[in-house]
Amino acid sequence: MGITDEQVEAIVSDGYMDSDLFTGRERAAVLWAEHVTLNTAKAREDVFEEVRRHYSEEETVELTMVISYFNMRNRFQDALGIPIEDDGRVESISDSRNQDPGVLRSYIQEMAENWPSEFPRAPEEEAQRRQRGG
Amino acid sequence: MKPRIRPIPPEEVGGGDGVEAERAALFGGVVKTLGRVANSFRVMAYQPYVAKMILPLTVSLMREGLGTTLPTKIKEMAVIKTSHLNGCAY
Repeated sequence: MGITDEQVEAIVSDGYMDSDLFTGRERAAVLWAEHVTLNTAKAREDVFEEVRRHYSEEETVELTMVISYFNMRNRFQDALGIPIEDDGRVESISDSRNQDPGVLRSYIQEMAENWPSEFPRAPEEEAQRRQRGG
Repeated sequence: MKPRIRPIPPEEVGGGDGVEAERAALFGGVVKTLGRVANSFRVMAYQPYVAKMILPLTVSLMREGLGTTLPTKIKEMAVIKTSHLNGCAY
């Protein structure tokens, strides 16, 4: 069910496309991750076609969102020197993959109800406003 | 490597209002949805309003049952490749 250590080793190697540890869909996901992350995806019609052979448009968009989002998270983590958890696990890799929609809905409701109707101005903006006599 | 921005421990927030209350609400939401407050969210908490919106984004994207279609396993494989190429231990 989960990803084996052997699979992790293959994913991070260059030989994942020839590995028999993965399904075609899984290989295509790793291939897309590589090209989106290295920003070579744009120039590789062949790679995109391979991805589209395995994934619908909806799935392709979702997969690209995940990869792009983790590029942001990786940069955030490294640029600010944020330590990885002691057990090496992060919240994305979790034992419980299914989420009860009610939990997220109540979080969003609570967030919306407590959302400020006005935010304090940033000090710089406030100074400029005073200068303009606003 | 020493953190460049100190992760805010959840036990330090709470009480009062304003930013402190926002951070407490954020951490409460993280525990309910992701199970624990990772260091990245402890740093994102310096910008609690943005972090509060990043949380539902993260959960919707990475968990099943919230409107997306791909199995988490496929997405985790993509994330492993992504983080490795970025030289990030994440």
